[in-house]
Amino acid sequence: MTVAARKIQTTYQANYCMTYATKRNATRQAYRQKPWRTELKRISQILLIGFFFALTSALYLALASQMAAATQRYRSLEYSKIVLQERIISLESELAKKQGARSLKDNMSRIGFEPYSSKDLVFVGVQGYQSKQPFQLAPLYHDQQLTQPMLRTSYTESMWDLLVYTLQQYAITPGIRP
Amino acid sequence: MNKKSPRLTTIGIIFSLVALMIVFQILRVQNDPVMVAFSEDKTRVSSYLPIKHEAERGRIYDINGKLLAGSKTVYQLGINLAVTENDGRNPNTITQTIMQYFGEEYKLDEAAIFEAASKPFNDQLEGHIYHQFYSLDNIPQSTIDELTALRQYYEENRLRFLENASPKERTRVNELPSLRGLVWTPHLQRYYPEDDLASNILGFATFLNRDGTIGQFGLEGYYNTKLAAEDKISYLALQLYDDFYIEDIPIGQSLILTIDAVVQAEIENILDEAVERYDADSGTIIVMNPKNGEIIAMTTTPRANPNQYWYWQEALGNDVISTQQKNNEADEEGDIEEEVFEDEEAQENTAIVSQNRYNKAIMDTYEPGSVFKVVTMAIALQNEAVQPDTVYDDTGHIEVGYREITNWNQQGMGRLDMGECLRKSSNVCLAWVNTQTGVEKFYEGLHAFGLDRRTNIDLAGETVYPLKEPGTLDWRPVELGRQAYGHGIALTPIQMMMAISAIPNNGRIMAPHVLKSIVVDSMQYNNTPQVFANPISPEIAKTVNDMLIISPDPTETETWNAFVEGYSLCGKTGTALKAIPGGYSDRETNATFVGWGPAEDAKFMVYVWIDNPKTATFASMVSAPVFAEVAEYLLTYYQIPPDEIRLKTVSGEVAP
Repeated sequence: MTVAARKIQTTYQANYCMTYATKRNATRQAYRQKPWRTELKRISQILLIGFFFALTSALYLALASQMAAATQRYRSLEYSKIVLQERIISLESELAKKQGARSLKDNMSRIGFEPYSSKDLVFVGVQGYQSKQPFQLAPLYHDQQLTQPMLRTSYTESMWDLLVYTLQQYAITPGIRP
Repeated sequence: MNKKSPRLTTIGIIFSLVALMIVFQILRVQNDPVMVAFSEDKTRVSSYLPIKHEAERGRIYDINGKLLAGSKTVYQLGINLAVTENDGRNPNTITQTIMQYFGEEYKLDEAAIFEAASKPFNDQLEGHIYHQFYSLDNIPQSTIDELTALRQYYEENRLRFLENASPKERTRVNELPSLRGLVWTPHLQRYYPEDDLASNILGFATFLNRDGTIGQFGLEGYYNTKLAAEDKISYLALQLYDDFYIEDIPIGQSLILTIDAVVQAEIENILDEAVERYDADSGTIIVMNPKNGEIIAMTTTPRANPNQYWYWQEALGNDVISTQQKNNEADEEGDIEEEVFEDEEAQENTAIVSQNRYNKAIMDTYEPGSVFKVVTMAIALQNEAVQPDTVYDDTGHIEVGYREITNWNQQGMGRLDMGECLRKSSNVCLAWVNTQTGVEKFYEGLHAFGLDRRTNIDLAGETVYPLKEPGTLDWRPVELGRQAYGHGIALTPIQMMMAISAIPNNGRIMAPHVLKSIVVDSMQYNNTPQVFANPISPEIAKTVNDMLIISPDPTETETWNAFVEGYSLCGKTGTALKAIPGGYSDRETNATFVGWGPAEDAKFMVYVWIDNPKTATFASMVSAPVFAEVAEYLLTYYQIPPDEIRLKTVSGEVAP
């Protein structure tokens, strides 16, 4: 085949392909633009939007109701806390009455105990005996150790500290991971 | 070219200015603190429900942690107006129940209760849903438990009726008895678990006045601002999605005392028995640690119950009333000399007398009598006016300031050294000692002992009587002799005790105090003991201490009745005729005893004052045995070994 003939053949094939492609595209476009399909697509889009809207609403409602329930529970617990605080205060006073100096003495007498006298006492020397410690209701002001928070070293040491510490551990016990 | 219209330009400028002014006003309103507060308040009112939390008054504990003053829950009754009659509110039942439980005690008007119980709910008018019965407050838990049980019974009755009734009959369910709508709201009220135990130290809080509770007398009065806490308000969101926070119950600062409730109960018991035994007007006992000034126990009679503080005047004023009655009777009989109150002014003082009786240990002054000789002797020895071995020949009388001073029995005691002068309690000898000390040194000494001022103990209402000394209007030269044995000088028991505490504490007086620690914001602060005065040297203190050791031999000392077997204790009696307007009573006395022990290292000091004992009048027969009783108890309670063991331990003969 001469060069001219080959050129003609190539041109024909190209034209044929273009024509075929144009026809096929037109058909596809027509298919796509079918009224029922367009309507279906629009309905789907609306449904999809509706679905997402409903989903969002449902989520919102679910969360809101959970939050409201939690708040209600929290409110109820807070109320209970106040009531219980008052009850505890009241019971502590009642306990103090029952354990009061006079009540204890009366109860002791009732069950047959008698107060001891100095003649009943036997004194024995005890090395290192410590008498009764004073009552403490709260940490003492000067006791700084109690006022500082107890933190683990891992919360306070830097990477460098960790590295040094790890190396030291290896140095102390070779081959054993600390 | 278009020419701009001046009219349009003007209008444009005006509109721009107006717009700018509006923006400025918006910014101003949003940033004005008053407007911001107003806005927040409006938002709060419309969106939040305020809930008031009444503060818990700070608690008071004894040295071992026993609660002496706390709080308890009481209730206020009210009607929940939101519960209508259609919901089962039955005004008849509510009224009958309230009248049955509280009508007589609270003197209630039945019609007014019924009107309140029938009140309709009108949110617009009421603004709130509860009708509170302000008079029906402070209802105890036990009554509320009964009301709860009754309400439960009525509810079960309703259920039974509904189960058995026909649909037509069920409409009549609201005619059944019901306590629906009757509500009780809790709040805290000051409470003293052991009633009148240590009531003279604690004082009381006026808890019936819920909005203005204040402390009166004692610790409640002295530490009122620390014990009280401000009420808090929580705002409860009306919308469930709004943020809110309910505050904890606020609490005032709590106090831990140096008082030991067990010792306090025991000495109250001992004192009550003693006052009854000796048919006395009243009594006072103070127990203190002389080394640090800590008051271990302090009591007087009579005592008021702080849980019913509104009766305190009646509780303490019985003797005053009886004295007034006595006066009236004396008037009727025409026996004017029997009257205690000679003029109207004195009668007006009955209220003050009544008030002073709340804690006579710090609020009532009296002439202490011979216990004062301890101070006289200490001042004389400190100023080297006499020596312990100085001998004085007691002839039974001495002239000081142109007036004669005698012993109680008008008899002389012969030759006495200074220790014997104290132990035999010779007025004449001590008056002579004071003449040797001299006016200037003696009154300097009294100032050094702090007898011219308050001790500043941390209890409300401490009183002081001005010291009669040269320069004051009522001082005469004879006072130098009289004051030597505790007459012509008025002191509170705590003043007298503090001055003498220099003897067992090496010449140093520690400031008396009741507070051991205070708890502020969950942190405990300890109260550091402080020196009040340093009037004499340790050597003089030890010399006087040795002079006052109690012996069981009545020929040696007036204090023989205070002897406790096995222990070396120190002490001094003091009997003084009671001062009455215009002079002294010829038969009423104040019997005092002050003592401490063990002698070589005092762990406790006890002051006993029996006011006007009638079955016996002398301190050696009245106060000394009471001291012995208290001392024996304390020696046992603190497990102090007898001399035989203790002194050997100290000297190293027995291993500790």
